[in-house]
Order: sequence, then structure tokens, then C-alpha cells
Amino acid sequence: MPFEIVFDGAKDFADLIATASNLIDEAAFKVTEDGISMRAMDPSRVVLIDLNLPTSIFSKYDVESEETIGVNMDHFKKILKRSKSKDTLVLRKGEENFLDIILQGTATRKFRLPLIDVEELELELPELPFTAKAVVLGEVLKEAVKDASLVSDSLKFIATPNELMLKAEGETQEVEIKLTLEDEGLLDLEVQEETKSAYGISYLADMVKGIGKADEVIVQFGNEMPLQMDYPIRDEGRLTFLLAPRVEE
Amino acid sequence: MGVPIGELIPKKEIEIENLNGRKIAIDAFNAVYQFLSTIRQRDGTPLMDSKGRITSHLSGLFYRTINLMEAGIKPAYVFDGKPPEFKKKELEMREKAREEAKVKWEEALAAGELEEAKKYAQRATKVNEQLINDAKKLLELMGIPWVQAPSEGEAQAAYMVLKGNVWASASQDYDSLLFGTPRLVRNLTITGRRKLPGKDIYVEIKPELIVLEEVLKELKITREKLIELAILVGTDYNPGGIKGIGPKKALEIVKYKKDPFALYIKHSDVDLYAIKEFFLNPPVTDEYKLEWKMPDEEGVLKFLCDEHDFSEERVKNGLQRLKKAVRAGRQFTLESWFVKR
Repeated sequence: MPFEIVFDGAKDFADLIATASNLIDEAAFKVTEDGISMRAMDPSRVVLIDLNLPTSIFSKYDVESEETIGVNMDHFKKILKRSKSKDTLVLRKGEENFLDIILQGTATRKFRLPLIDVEELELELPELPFTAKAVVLGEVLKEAVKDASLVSDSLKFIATPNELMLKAEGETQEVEIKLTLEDEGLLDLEVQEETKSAYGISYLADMVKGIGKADEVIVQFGNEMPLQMDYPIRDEGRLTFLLAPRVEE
Repeated sequence: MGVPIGELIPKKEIEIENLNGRKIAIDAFNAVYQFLSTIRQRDGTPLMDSKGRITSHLSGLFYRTINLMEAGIKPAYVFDGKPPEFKKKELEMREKAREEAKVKWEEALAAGELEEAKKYAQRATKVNEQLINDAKKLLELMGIPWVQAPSEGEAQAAYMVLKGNVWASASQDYDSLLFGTPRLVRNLTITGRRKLPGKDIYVEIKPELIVLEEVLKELKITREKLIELAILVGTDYNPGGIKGIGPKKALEIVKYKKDPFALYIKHSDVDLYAIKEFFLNPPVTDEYKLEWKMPDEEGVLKFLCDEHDFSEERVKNGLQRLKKAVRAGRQFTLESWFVKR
């Protein structure tokens, strides 16, 4: 059997896939002896998703041979959505071109998902010279995006050495969210120079949807540069988004 | 119109969202012609203002351009300049066909046959200078760039793609490929639900992407050979081509004959070599600036509503959508960082 992988707390895995599925329709997951990884861009080529799940976050990880499996994210998401938080998730693939998704709880429920051909994104992540880095609580980002969407379709990130400001300006209204290290929501801030950049709200909304309120999210950006958002999955795993900026008027 | 080599050309259907963030040079004559021929009343009469001036093209250009902008596409319209001397025959033939269609349209109208009337009305579509000037004026007011080609618009569009100023050119005709466009998008200005002519059937039309490199690879020929092939089949500059030669036969001929014209030149009343040279080195210009600006709202309202009797409510709504799209169009794609900026 090519692989059998067990993850405790199926709901967390479901949230992860749900978040990615907001942005991409299909994805190629690479299953190797080091873990599961996936890299994809949304169809409009504005957001890149990079997922890295090392073997250590799984309670069982048996991979006989390296495999790349292509899945329809919407179907995958809908199946995983049927899980309860206490369920154990088993992902299993045999010789056939199917992924078995097994939810073990009060009963054992097995779904079969046909695998599809998905082109792998052969792309090296560029080394971007970010000038601002902040560690923020997930809750802050989720609320900021909701606040901003009331007034505009873009959100400006402004970092100065002592403050991170998120600002949205509409035609008539505006909103400002200020964070200093005194605030509970900002855990760390490293700013090389005053940095400003704006990003589309609809993309940000899709990116933060699956973030846990208590997650410590690393946000990095530069002047008119992409924004990188990293959030931990069970400490050692990582979901990274790279979002292209918008040009300010 | 255009070279009839479609059956040989590999194309792939794409989604409009795949074109997000792409700058595209649109064959303006082709687009205006399509708006004029398709945006018509049931009996084939084009849309007109209270003074009897045609407005079909303005309606098409306004709403379709907004749709493209909303899809994140940045359109630049490229207008034809002076046609090459050897296009005369084609232009005369088109004029004659239009006149014949016009007579049939009137006959069908008199007989009360609406379907027939519309069919002939469409064939009678004529793009004159006034209509083109209207189109340029509207684009100007909308903040959408347009480019004046010295000669053929498709040649200029191809040049702009080759220079890297735009990502693809858009036209229904395959001639753009002969002019060397690396990427050609078809159906861009007609994407969506369309009624089949003469039938009560609707089809969903999606954009098609044609990549020149893939075409040449598939046919196993060079661009020069593709031009020769097209000329044998017939282009706008030698309508009908060489008698008895269709696309498949032409492909065989150009593959095996180093100089395929040698056989036919004496039976041809046009200089096939000169046509080939024109496709290879058409007149083009570097004088253009591609900028997508906020629309001049007052100007658009004055032009469309005051002068041409468009519904103010609809135009205002369109302008709101356009402004929003211009703002959203300031979204970069990640390619700027992965590839060269």
C-alpha cells in the first residue's frame, strides 16, 4: 500500500483544507517520507498557497513510496466537513487511483475520493526582501478584515518601528486598527524601515477564514511587495500564503 | 474575413478568470464590427439615437469593456490605419457583399420575414469613419487606452505582444498569428451566452487561447511556412487563394516545397511574395501609451446620455462598475515577483 496516514482531530485538518479550497479548485499533494506538502496558485495568480505538514504532526505515518495525488478541493472539503472534532482521520491510498478518507469516531465512516490529474506547480518561492515582520493573533487579523470590508475593498498595512496599523479607506468612511506591543494582539514587531503596502480584502478574507483565533500568525511584507502570512499547524506544520499587493492610487 | 485556417489551429478553451491581470490588445475594428452586427433589434435595425445615428457599437463597447475590466483584464483597443494596397480587392468584395445584403434585407423586411431580415442586416454591417471616431471618443472618456496602428491593427497588436507591453492580442481572425502574435485570444468580446444565428438556441461561449509556438509545433512548420500556407489558402490580400487548395493540402505543399509560390505565381494576379513580406514586416509604431485611468464620468454621461440617448440610470450603474474595476485592476499578480518585474 502506497500510504496510510493518521491525524487525530479530523476537524483541524478539515479547516485547513476548507481554507485552501476557498482559493484553489484543485491541488496536487506530495506525500513523501518527510511529510505532506502542497503548493498552488489561485486561478487569478494573486495568491500562492504553500502547505507543509511534517510527519511529526501525524499519529501514524506510513509511506511506502512517494506519491503525488491530485484532488478536487471542493469534494475533499465537503467530505472532511462531515467529521466531528473528536474523530480520527485516516488518509489511505492503495494501488488504485482513489484516496480513502476514513473518519473514526462513534462509527468508522469510509469515503472514497477519485484522484485527478493536477499539474504540479514547479515554482521556487522567491526570496523577498521584506522590511516588516509582525507576529499577530489570528483573532486580530480576522476582525481587521471584517472591519475593513465594511468600508473598502482593500486594506493597507503600515508598519513603523513601534506600531502596526491596518487601515481601510472607502469613498466616505474609513477604519483604522492600531497595534503596539502593549496590545495583547501583537506579539512581536520587527520593522527595518517604515513600510506600507495595500492588499485586496476579498483575498485576505479567504486567507484568514480558517485561522484559529489564538493562532500566532507571522505576517511579513514590504513596500508594494507581496504579503506573506504563515500560520502554524500543530506547532511544526505550516500553512503559508503569499498575496500580491495592490497599487495604491 | 480573415484567413480560413481555423481547422488546422490547436486551441484551448479557457476561463475568463485565467485572464485576470492580463493586458490584452484588442483588434478594435473586429470588435466594433461584431457589436454592430450582433447588437440589433429583432428586424435587424441597429440601435439608434433619436437623431437616427447608430449606437450599437457604443453600447457594445461600453458594457463589454466594463465586463472585461471587471474580470481583471486590461484591454487596449488597436485601430486599423491605412490598409495595404493589395487589400483593395477584398475591401471591394466586402462592399459588394454588403450592398447585396442590404437589398435582401429590405426585401425581407417588406415581406415581413424578420429572421431573414436580421440575417441580411447583419451581413450588411458597415463600419465607417464616424463609427470609429465615436468608438475612440468613448474609450478616451472611459479611461481605456487605444492605439492607432499605421496599417493593420492586428499587426500592431502582434508587435505589442512581442514587445511584452501586452500579454496577448484578441481577435476572431487568425491573421494575428501570421503577424507573429505569440498569444491570440479568440471570443474575448463575445464571451457569454450567445444566440445562434437564425436559431432559437443559446450557447455558452468561452474564450479560446491560441499559442503560436504550440500551433507551429503541432503543424511542424515555422511561422514563415504558416504564412505561406495561409497565402495559398487565401488571405484578405489574396481572397480565395490558389484555386483548389484547402488548408490540409496547403500544409503538405509548404512542408515539402522550399518555395511553394513558384508553382502558382504565374496564375496569380497578386504578388504572393509581397504579401508574405507584408506579414513578416508590417508597418508598426512605438507611439502608444497604455494607461487605464478613472473614467471621465461627466464626459461619458454627456456623450452617451445627452448626445446619444442612452439610459442615464444604466450608464451611471456602468460607470460605478467601471470605477470599481479600475480600482481593483490595481491588483498585481504574483508573476511580477516570480518572473521579472
